[in-house]
Amino acid sequence: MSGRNSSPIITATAVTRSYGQGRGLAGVDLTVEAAEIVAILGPNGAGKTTLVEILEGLRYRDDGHVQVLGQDPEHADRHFRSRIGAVLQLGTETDEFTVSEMLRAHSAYYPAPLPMSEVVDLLDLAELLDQRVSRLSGGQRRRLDIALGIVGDPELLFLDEPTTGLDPEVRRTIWRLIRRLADNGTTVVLTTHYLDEVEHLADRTIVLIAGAVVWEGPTSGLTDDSGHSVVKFRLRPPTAISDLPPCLGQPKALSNNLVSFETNEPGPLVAELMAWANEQPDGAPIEQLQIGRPSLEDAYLNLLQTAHTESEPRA
Amino acid sequence: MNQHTNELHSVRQQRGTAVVSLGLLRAKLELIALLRSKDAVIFTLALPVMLLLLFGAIFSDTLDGTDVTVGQWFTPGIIAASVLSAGFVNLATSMAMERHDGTLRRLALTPLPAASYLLGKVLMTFALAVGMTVVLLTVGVAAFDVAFPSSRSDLATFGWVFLLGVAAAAVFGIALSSLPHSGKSAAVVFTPPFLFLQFISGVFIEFNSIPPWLRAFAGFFPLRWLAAGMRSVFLPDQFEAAAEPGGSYELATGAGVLGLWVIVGFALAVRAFHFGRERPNSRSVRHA
Repeated sequence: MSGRNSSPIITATAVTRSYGQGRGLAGVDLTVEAAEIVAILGPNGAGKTTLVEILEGLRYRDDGHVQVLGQDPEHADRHFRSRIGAVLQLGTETDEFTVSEMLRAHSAYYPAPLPMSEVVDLLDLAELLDQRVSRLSGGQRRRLDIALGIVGDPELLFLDEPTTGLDPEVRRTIWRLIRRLADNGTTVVLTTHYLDEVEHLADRTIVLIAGAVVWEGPTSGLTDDSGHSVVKFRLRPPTAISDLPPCLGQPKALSNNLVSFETNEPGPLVAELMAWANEQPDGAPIEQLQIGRPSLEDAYLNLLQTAHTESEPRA
Repeated sequence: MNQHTNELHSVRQQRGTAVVSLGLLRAKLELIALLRSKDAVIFTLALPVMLLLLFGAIFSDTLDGTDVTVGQWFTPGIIAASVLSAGFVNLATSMAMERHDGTLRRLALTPLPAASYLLGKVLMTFALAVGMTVVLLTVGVAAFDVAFPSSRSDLATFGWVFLLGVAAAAVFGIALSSLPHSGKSAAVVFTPPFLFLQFISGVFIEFNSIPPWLRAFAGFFPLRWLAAGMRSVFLPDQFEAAAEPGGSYELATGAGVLGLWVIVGFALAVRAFHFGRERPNSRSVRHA
């Protein structure tokens, strides 16, 4: 692969884009270093695709400064596009082609493509070369999507929800492949709304909500930041959540009898809980008591909730 | 010339070569895709052939004041309509589908030049028009004694009518491809106006028997001139005086109108086509 320099691959500052009705981007900053895997995480309509399309040079920004591979993507030319790759889902118009025809055609568009055998090996496509695209399974198709994204030997690869709709085993295979690309020096920017994808893949994560970055940092920091623990347990019926003593604080009902508390001091909370439980006439109505760090899901849902409450008064 | 301009010149030349060779590659891919999608081939080819055979079989008499049979008369008309439909319907539909199913977006992110993509589309349209003409002409010659053009001037007329027709159809297909709001609706959007044109342009109904005001209206569109041009090539000379409005095919006017459509269509196509990329001056692009 070609030489990488140490300056950031992507720098974006104060990028705005409005579509009206509050959608769009409201001043997004983003820096991506070489050979990093960066995830842009956010709910649907948060502006993930808009941001990525601005970085790819498909879309214009209203304001702000963007440099991708040392170039403003608004003036993207063939040279720029020969240095980026994008993994998009195949449309149905390609159904009649074979895998090898698709690969050969795409590789012809690039000035310095990877050797075909390398792409075929990397994505394990050897046995599929003569298959029509229409006959491929979901996972095989996605492997071809990725192959088409990297066939031009990109320095920067954009992945749009790479494992949506795939079964768990295939997802893991795809994650391994993406990880291998990054290990070989390719910088990867991926959008997703799957937390496990972020957890498995991303070195750094950007949480984008309503067009603004609400959190940014190493993926592991997403759960560490909150600083509190979660006490989770199951209530044995007929005991209900409303029977819990108010001194424990505000409980979160995860399902009809699964309860959780967020606290900075799990010890005293558990002590109070057990004291109450032991006083119950029919014995302690508590099962499966766990104390743990909040999961990535908890952290993300908290971010979503905070962003939602903050935007409420304005709406 | 100094060395720098020489280099610049050769870079430009290389780029030009790349645009053409990638355009040829795209044309090859388009053709492979077309030939492999059997439904599309059958639908595209079988419909005009069926219409031609039906018309010829149902109306076995000759047209008033001539010894031209309905089958003979209908052959050049359906050839003209097929040439137009190759761009106006097939090309426009395929591009509308590709705009909406992500193909265009995918290609826009590769270094493939937009000009190569368009060249591939135009060449595919040309190949499709040639294929349909060959099939329909074969049917016409075999079933209805259509005379293959023998004179040099007839062949020349056929050449320019065909080329201008394909060019007008292709540029308009490109210009119109951004109109449908979804890929699925494309065929529905393009078929009715095409059917309408066939009725008023002398394809299904003898042009002379269409009310003059409707004939004048049809004169603004390419199909009327394409059809007259094809009739001038494939029908005996007596037909012109006996059955054309004003006793003339008006080939010169036809060439002018078709030429104008090619120029206007090209300008519209360049404006309408953005290869999935937003343009700086028009930010209202639909989400691809």
